[in-house]
Amino acid sequence: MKIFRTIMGTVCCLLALASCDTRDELYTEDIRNGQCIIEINGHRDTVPGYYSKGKDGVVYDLYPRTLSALMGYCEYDTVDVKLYALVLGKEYRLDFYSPFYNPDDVTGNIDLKRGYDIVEYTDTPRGYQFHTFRLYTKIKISEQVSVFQSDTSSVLLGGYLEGLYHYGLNRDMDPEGQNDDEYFRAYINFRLWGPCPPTSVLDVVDVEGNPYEKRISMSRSHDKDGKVVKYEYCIDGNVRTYGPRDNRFDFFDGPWQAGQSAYGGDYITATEISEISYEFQTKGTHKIYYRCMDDMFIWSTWKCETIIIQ
Amino acid sequence: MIRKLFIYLCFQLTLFPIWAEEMINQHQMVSLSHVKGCQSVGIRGGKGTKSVYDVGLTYAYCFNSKISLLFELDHERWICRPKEKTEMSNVVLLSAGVEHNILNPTKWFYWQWGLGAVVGYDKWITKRLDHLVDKDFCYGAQVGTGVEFVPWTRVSFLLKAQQYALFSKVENYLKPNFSAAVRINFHK
Repeated sequence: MKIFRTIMGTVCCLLALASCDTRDELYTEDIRNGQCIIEINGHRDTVPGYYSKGKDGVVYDLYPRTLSALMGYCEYDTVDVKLYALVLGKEYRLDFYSPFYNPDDVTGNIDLKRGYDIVEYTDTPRGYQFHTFRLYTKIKISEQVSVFQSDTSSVLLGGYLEGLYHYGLNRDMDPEGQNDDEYFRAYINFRLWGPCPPTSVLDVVDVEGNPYEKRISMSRSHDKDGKVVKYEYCIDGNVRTYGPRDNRFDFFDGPWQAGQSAYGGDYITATEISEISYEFQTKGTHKIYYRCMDDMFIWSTWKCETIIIQ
Repeated sequence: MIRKLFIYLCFQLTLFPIWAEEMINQHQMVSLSHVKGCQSVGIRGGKGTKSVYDVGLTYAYCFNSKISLLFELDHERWICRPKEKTEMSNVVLLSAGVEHNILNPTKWFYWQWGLGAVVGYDKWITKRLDHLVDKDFCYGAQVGTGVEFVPWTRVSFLLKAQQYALFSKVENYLKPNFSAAVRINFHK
């Protein structure tokens, strides 16, 4: 009988134990519409998202996963990123900075050097409310690209903001006032676009009365992050592609960028004139190489247009 | 690092039967298992209410026929069901405590209870938020009860139920664990 009671007691203990797993989802499915505003070097973009109420506070999850922002005219030593979060119907500014961005060395983790509290006081009839964000975050650069090579040059940054959101009333003035701490975290990926090269567009127009003369215009060339400032024309010349170790430039000691160069023919270099007149001397097929440069000194790639003089 | 340590321990465990046999041959043979100086080493596997699995090692040293020193090293994987949006691992969980024999009606059956202090390392992964990962050390205590069957002097089998209370920055929680273990007993 004693053994029976012992076994029954053990079974009861086991049944009781089975219901004592208190682990649960870290973040509940309580999803509400949220909104964040990301600002990168002055360019603002509104980002829809949602936030979940977790055990430790509010967590923002922003979508789309990858945000885009144009870096524009920024210097390449810093990227200034600001995130504005709408919390409890109000807009609070969260700032974080990537301390150093070098296009030649963009791998690895970067610890942010600055994180600080943002405190905002609001007077109320019963005292004043205060809101505090304590930020400590990291940016991880997860993709290495060369920002000068193509129209799609960009760098993908990912990171999250963490903070302690503190809300309450001043206890000295209102001992019964509420105080509340909420953990805050926003995870974001954003893609920074490098300064894009311009797009060159060529128009060749006939001149009335002279079949040999053409008006060659690049005035429709454009640049999406700046403006076009110079043009080059190479008529009946050629364009050569050379590599980074080309030794033809023996006067140059440093590392030489790979690229293309025009030579021969009638070569009009780096002019600010977007439209020229040219009179071909012979009938037949002629080639016009052309390119343009934007105000960040980035040249477009050489393009070629073939025309026939009859 | 912790994973490598765990793999190393598992590797050592595979060598354990050879080592234990050697120990038994080299030292004095006795016919009693729960006496002073008797040591037990074994492996255990189990499952909690929501956990996927729990595996571990166990070691006990008998001070006398009633009290033993008990160490348990565990690794548990857990998924929050039914939504399965949160996944958690006790990457490593080390318990140090004592085991007390309450009842010993026959020489092959023991009813035990025990308690111990626990330290470990937890990892939480939230699938909803781009797999955000939280890691932290945890600490706490565990209490448990179980039965031990000793069909042979050298080998014993344990069925055990334990309740853990663990604390960390990520989460404070209770968790049960039901485990079966096989131990090899020897005297030094």
